Amino acid sequence: MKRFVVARKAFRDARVTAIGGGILSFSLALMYVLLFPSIQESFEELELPEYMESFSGAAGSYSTPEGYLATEFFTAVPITLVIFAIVAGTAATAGEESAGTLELLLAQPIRRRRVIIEKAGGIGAAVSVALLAGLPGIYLGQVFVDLDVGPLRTLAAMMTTLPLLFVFAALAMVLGASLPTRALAVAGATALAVIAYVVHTVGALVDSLSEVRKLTPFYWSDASRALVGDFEVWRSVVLLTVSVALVGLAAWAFERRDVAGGGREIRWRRWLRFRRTVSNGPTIGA
Amino acid sequence: MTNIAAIEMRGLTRAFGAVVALDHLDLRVEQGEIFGFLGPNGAGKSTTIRLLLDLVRPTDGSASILGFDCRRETIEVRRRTSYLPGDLRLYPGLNGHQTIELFAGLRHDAVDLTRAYRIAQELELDLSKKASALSKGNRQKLGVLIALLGEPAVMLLDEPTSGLDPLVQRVVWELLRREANRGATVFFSSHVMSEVEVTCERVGILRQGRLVAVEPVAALKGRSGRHVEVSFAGHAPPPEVFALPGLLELRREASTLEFEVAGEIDPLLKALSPFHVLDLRTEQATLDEILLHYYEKAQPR
Repeated sequence: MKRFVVARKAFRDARVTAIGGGILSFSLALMYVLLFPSIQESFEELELPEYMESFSGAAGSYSTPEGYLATEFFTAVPITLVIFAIVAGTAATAGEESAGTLELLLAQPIRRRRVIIEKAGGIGAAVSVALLAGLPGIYLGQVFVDLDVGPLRTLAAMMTTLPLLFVFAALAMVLGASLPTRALAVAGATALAVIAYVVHTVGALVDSLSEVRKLTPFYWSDASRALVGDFEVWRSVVLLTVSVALVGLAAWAFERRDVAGGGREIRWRRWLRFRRTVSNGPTIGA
Repeated sequence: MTNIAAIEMRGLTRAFGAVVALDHLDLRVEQGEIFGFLGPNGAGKSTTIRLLLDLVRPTDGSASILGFDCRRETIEVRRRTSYLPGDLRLYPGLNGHQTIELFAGLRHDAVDLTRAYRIAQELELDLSKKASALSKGNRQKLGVLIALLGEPAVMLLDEPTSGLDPLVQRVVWELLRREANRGATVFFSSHVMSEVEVTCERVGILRQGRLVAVEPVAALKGRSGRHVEVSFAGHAPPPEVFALPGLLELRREASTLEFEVAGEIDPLLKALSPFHVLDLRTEQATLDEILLHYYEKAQPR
């Protein structure tokens, strides 16, 4: 068997994420950097509301280069790319199953868990391309505009944001491998992402939610710290560990279920029946 | 090694809640055999093939291919098998070359792509076109080609000639015969009787998830009924003359009778001997009629 056949195919399938997300990331990065001098001038004298300042996180103020990047680029782009990651993650299994191509793939001598792991690799690569395309956008903007954030700090901020995308792509893979339809997997993963984002944002201002927000991936992906030179590697390690665990969970769920053929998604009723059979029947197992 | 079955199913059962799609299927297919798996739509043919490949899991029983358990040793099974789904879906964005290279890359053993391209020529298949631009027949040809990659020991084909024109069907049958000649086992589902007749050595007939017959094609035809038309010099004899076991009067005219005879024709000939018979014509029941008989009348065993 050739190496990474499925991973390369998954990367190819996620090229819309890589190219579309990359263009978005690069363009927004360039735009935000070029707008910084005029924004800084306008906001220097202003006292922003607490909720707006909270986006700047450890970077302190919106009018600082670090606070500005944290509030604009490292808020808007990750939440947009999270949606791209969810779409790519659900395409991995649920998308192929809906299209009817999964059946022939899984009839080949390749383990289901390897299919999941290779697809996770391909999607991870596509998502990385999409986000990291923002780096040249920022660097290029800095040629024209005085935005004093070192290239390594920007890179570190990217490195703390990337695992956030991995977590949601992996979460989408879990739902895609477990739920009977792709639409349901996309809806479920998107709902969880929105809830996590709201809890994270509101939790920064509401004391009673300050502990709960630690349960959201957004809390652990804090680009503002990296931008001021306080890159905490362990935060990224936490998110990477969660991503790996979710990919493992997706593989486990995928190993245990039927695969629909001919582009028919497994119907709810049939899916529930099968779930019941799995829990009762001794002959079906992982 | 030779006494290891190519495919063996032991009480293979698959239920979806109260609906039993496959009911305690026991079947053994020998190595090198071309085995036809017949049945009406929804009889459980595709489910059987998908169970063998571990795409769906049995609720009871087990199956093995070349001695490897289809659940526990599924990778060993899939190393030795190839598959053509009944409702084939290919990656629309890949052309024929890319599709072949993708599936060849997933095989454990090296695949001779030169052979694959030679077969593509035999099938008159243009590999430069994307799957999305291919007609149903050409997509099916590509599916057949994927199933032939890497010279598999067992080929599991779900209605392999579906959507192909008669000329290409012949090419596919020839390819399958060639595979069997090199020692491969071909297990295919069909409801195209003519292809079963010309390609298969044995057939299994599935009805409502249960196997109602497993027979060599020749024996199935030999055991089946025949139509007999008899013309008499005068009026046809009264019906009571032909009240014999295995004999059914189908049509009666003034001097002509038509019967369906199950088994030997000798009792009918003896019953006819006192009469002046002008002509007697017999016709073997077609495989279609035999299968319809099984589909409609046979009780699952």
